[in-house]
Amino acid sequence: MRLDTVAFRYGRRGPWVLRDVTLALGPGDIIELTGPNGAGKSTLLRLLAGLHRPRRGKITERPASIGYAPERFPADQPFTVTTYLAHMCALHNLPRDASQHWTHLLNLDHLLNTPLPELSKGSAQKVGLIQALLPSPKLLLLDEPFSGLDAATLAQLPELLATLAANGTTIVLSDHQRLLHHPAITNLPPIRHLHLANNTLTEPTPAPTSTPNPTSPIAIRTPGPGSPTSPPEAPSAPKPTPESLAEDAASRAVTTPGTPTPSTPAPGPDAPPATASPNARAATASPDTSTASASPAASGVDVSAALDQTPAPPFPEASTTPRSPVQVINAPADAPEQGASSKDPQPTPPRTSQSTSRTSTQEPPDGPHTPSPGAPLQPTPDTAEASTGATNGYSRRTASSQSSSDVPDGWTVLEVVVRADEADAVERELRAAGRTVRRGASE
Amino acid sequence: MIALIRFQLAGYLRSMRFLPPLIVAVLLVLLVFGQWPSGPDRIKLATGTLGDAAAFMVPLSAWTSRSLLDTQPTVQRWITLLAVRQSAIAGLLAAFTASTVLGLILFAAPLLQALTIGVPAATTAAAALLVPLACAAGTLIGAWTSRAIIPGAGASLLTLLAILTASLLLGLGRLSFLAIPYLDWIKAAHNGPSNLQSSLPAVLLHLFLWCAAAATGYLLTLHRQTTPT
Repeated sequence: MRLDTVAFRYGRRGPWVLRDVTLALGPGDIIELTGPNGAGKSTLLRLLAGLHRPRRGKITERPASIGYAPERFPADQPFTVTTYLAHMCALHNLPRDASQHWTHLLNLDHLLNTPLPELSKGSAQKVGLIQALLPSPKLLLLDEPFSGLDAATLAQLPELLATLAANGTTIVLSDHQRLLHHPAITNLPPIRHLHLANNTLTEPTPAPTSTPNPTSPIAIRTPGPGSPTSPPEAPSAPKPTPESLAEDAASRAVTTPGTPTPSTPAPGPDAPPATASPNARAATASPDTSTASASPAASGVDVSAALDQTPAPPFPEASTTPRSPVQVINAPADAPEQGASSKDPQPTPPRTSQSTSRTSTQEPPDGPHTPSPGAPLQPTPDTAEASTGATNGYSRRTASSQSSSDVPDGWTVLEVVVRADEADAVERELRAAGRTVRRGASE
Repeated sequence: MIALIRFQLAGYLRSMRFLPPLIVAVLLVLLVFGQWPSGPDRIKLATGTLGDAAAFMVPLSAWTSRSLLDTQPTVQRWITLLAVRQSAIAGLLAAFTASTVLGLILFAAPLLQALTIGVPAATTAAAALLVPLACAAGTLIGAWTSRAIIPGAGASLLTLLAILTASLLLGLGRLSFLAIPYLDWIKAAHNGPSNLQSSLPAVLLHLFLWCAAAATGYLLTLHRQTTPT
C-alpha cells in the first residue's frame, strides 16, 4: 500500500490537515502513529481506510479487507453486544457465531446480552476491536486501541497484534499509551514509528525493537504496601517475559516507554539517558508536576493533552502552593537529596484522605516542531519548595523506600499526592498519557 | 448487501424511529381514507382516493427514509462501508423497503374500497403501480436530506420540506418536468377511472425517470464522498 504526496483537508477552504504524506506500507508492518492531539492521526487512519478521499495525491494498493477500530466505538445503537456482533459477522459473510472466539479472548462473554449504550468505555472499545478483527483484515487500523481497556486485555493485545502481523496483516495504530514499547513485549516484530505533527508525517528513527529507549520512558508508579513494582526496564537489564506484562497490568501498572524522536531536542537514541543527572531528572519531571497540579477536578485541564503537548514551565506555581489540590513531590529513586527534602512534612492538616503515589516520568517525544516536554528542563529551587510544600500530613516514601534497582537509568520518580476524590481522574489521565501508575494506600 | 439491509432495518425497528410516520399513516387511514365512498359518484370518489393516497406516500416515505438512514451513527456508517462497499445502495433499499411497508398500510384502505365499490380492476392495478414509484420518490427525497448528505439536522429538515414543496409547486409551471407529477395523477384520479388509466403511463414514466435521476445523483454524490482512490 502506498501513499503518494497525499494531502487532505476538511472542506475546500479548511486548513490542511495533512500535506505531502508519502508512505509505503508492507504486509506484516506494525506502524505506530504518534503525534499531539489534533495532529490528524485519526484523519490519516481514515484516509488509509478509504473513508476519506485525499484532496491531493493518491493512495494505491489498498488491501480489500480492512478492519477499522474507531477511537470511540459508536455505542449509541439499539443492539445488544451479541446481536451487533452477529450483524457484523453477517456483513462479513461469516457465521453468526464467528465472534465467539474474540469475545472469549477479550473477556466479553459476560456482557453479550448487554445493550451497547450500557457498556463501559472499555467494553465498548472491545466491541470495536472485535468488529475490526472479525474479517481477518489485511489492513488493520486501530485508533487509540488501548484506551480504556482493562489490564488483562492490554496484556493480550500486543501478542495478538504480533500474530496478525506474522500472518501478513499491516497494522497501523495510533497509541498515546505506547503500550507496544513495554519492555515485557518481546515477540513483536520491529515497529515503525511515524510521527505526525505540523501536517506532515515523519518517520524519525526506525524503532529497532520493542525494547524501551532510555531517553523516553514514561512511568508513574504508586507503591502500595508490599506491592511489587514493575519498573521500565533498563536497556541492559534482562527482559521480562510477556507474563510480566500481564502481571504488570494486573497490578494496574502500565509502563510505556517511547521511542526516540529526532525532533526532540533531547539526545538521540544513542545518547546517554536524559536522566544522567539528578537535575535533568528533576527537570524532566516538571511537566508532570505542572499538569498533575492542575488536576482535572480542580481546573478542568486535560492532563494527558497537556502532558503530550505542553512544554510546561519548569515548576508551576500551583504545585508549590500548599493549597494545591494535587501536590507533587519529585523523588527520583537515586536522588536522595530530594527525597531527604521531602521528609519534612508540612504541618498542614490533611483536608481529605489522600493517596500517595510514586511517579516516574519522562516525557514522550513530541512533534518535530513542538517543544518536547521530554526535553530536560532546568530545575529550579521551586523543586524543593514543591517537595516540602506538598505534604499535608502525608507520610512520604522517598528514594530510600524504594530500591534504586526499581528505577532504571533514564527514569524519574515523582511522588504525587492527590485528593482522594480526584485520584481516579488524575490516574486515568496519566494512564491515558502513557504513564505507569500504581496506587498506594492512603495514609 | 442483504445482511446490511437487515442490519439497517433491525436498527430502525429497534430504535423505534418508525413510530412517528407509522402513527401518521394510521391516522390518515382512520380519519381520511377510512370513510367509505357512497352516492352516485362513489366510483369516481374511490378512484380519487387512490390518487390521494399515492400522493400522501411521498412525504411519508421521505420522512421514513430520512429517519432510517440517520439511525446509524457516522462512525458505524464508516464501519459498515468498509464491510460492504455498496452500502449506499443497501441503505436506499432498506429505506425503500420500510417506505413500501408504510405505503401498503396507507394504501390498504383505498385499495379495499376500490375493489369493493367497483373501480375497474385494470385501473386499480395501474394505480397500484403508483405505490412503489411514489415510495421510491419519497425515499430518494429522504435520502438526499439524510445526514450523509446534509450533516446538520435542522438544515436537512428544512431542505426536506423545501424539496417536498418544490416538487409539488414546480408542477404548476414550465419546469413541471422537474416536479414529481402529483398534480397530474391526482387530477386524473378525481376525473374517474378511465381518465386515470389513460394518464397513468405518462405519469409512471415521468415518475420513473425522476426517480432514476434522483437515485443516480444520490449514489454519485455518496460515491464521491466515500470511494477510496
